[in-house]
Amino acid sequence: MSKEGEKELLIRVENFGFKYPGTRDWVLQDINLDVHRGDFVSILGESGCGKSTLCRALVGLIPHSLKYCELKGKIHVCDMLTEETPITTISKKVGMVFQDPEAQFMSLKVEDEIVFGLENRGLPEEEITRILNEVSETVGIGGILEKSPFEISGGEKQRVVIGSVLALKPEIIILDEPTSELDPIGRKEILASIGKINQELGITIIYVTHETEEAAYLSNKVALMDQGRFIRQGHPLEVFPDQELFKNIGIRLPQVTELYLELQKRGLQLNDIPYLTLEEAEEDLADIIDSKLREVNSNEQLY
Amino acid sequence: MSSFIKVKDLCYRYRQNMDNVLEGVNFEIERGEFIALVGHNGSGKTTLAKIIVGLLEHKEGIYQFTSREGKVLSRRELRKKIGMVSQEPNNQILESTVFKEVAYGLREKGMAEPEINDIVEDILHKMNLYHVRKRHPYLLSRGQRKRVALASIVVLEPELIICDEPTAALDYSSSTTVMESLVKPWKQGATIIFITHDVKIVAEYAQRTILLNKGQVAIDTDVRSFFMDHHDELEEHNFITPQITELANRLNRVTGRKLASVLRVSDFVDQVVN
Ligand SMILES: Nc1ncnc2c1ncn2[C@@H]1O[C@H](COP(=O)(O)OP(=O)(O)OP(=O)(O)O)[C@@H](O)[C@H]1O
Ligand SMILES: Nc1ncnc2c1ncn2[C@@H]1O[C@H](COP(=O)(O)OP(=O)(O)OP(=O)(O)O)[C@@H](O)[C@H]1O
Ligand SMILES: [Mg+2]
Ligand SMILES: [Mg+2]
Repeated sequence: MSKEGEKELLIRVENFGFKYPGTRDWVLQDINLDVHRGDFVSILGESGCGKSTLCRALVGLIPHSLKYCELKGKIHVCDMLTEETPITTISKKVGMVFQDPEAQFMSLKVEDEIVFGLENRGLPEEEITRILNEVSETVGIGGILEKSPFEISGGEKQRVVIGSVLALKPEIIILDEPTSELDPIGRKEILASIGKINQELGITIIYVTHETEEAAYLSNKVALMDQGRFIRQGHPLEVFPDQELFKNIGIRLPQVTELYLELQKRGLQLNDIPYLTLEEAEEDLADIIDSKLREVNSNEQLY
Repeated sequence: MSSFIKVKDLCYRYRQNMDNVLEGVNFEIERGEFIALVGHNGSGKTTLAKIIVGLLEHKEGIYQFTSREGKVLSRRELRKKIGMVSQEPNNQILESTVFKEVAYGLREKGMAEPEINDIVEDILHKMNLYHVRKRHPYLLSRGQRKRVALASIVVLEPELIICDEPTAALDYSSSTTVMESLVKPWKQGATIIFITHDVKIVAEYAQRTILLNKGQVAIDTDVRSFFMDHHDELEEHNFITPQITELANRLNRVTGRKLASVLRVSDFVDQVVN
């Protein structure tokens, strides 16, 4: 596929539209999206706007596993046209973590969920063991490898599914709200690992989330979806200051960004660029807080 | 009279040869409380919830649910008083359309059709589900399915509602819709327990927070004290403070000043802008 600047174009969605069988409305319309090698793209949008549907289309489940649906436009993934390529071929390049973890389980043992894909690739036994250990450390499932994937907690299920995709290190990983049931620390750690394979191995990530704080830290591109259309795409720094836009589609900004906008509205002199991260907020606010609260304290002494 | 709900030295394991998942859990709950139940993955929250609603039966320790009249109810009796929205929304679907799904329990109760119609239409509007009312519940987005499950419980007006991760994978405005749908019955006297990993939702809605760690209660306190006083313990229990609380704590540390009790953005703004 064509190259833009340095980076190779891996996914191109062109005027894509989609309609489920038996429903009246188009669920996706006029979708255009370019993803380059090494990108970390976060997709944000209100519940029911079409995020999972787009993910299914990117891995070819749509249209291949759905009869009688209607399509418009084209999706290219790694030089393949999804409509014309069998799912099994696409899935060699693209790994996906579905929103419903249970839908993805195939084995009776957690360990086999991780190992299955590796065995299919004919990797040597030692290599499989090495990857199994590495992955179960990353997603924190060392204690449940012997259990049935149907007899573990909700968050443990999500960990297993993420592990099974990470083990394969595909070129592109699509994560459909993979961390929604993880505890906050587990979520931080696993996202950090995903950020790391993105940075260090150049694995391309498409990440569906509602957490703008995470999108701000991790992505070089965010795409906002509303009722089946992308209404905005760009670098987090371009997109996040537009608070109205987020409000309209029910997405919450990082709390530090909310704080910036609120303090600015109240007339405080702040950085020119809104905070996206805790560190940025801390750096800019330290002096302000110090002098403000000193005022407050000395006022208190007057009374 | 004894507490509404009393849990004492409660233990549970899924099978004889397995380890205990709950290891001596203790707490009491009064009617009208709004409680967040939190804790690391696998800490036993769902298991505990299933015991409280009577889906699982414990063999060790005490669990009592006391009726308004002061009677300790049997497992069969208490099930009628409690509504649970399970973590996995697919487990709960019984009917072929969203409307029928939400109406199901009311029909079982023998309520008249016109009345059912009003109640169901009202909640579908509130939960932003009216446009999909004729759809099969399986043909919905995950967040929509979760809201259908919640709606079908809320309409039954149970005395206790337990929601297992009601806002997982929901955007902020849908989360607010869902939490407000719990606030309403709570204001009318219902008791609410919600299980969550969403720290912001805890900070905004819970009155009291119970944190489980490896099958035991590690922290049980009101929500401000939970984030402010127990701040340093949270991380070791795989929990965190909201970003805004973390910012206030860090600024207090570097400036030596004291921003007090910041759980929301507005708490911060109010102390800085006078
Ligand atoms: N199999 C299906 N048949 C018909 N309509 C469907 C089907 N699956 C989803 N839909 C509808 O398509 C729209 C988009 O659904 P999708 O699952 O893509 O949303 P989403 O953005 O992933 O939402 P969530 O955040 O709740 O997961 C929704 O209105 C949903 O009701
Ligand atoms: N059906 C089952 N059979 C055997 N063990 C189970 C079963 N369900 C859960 N467990 C185990 O019991 C422990 C507690 O699980 P539980 O579902 O109560 O955790 P949880 O606190 O709800 O976690 P999460 O935040 O991930 O939902 C976990 O270690 C889990 O592996
Ligand atoms: Mg979805
Ligand atoms: Mg659970």
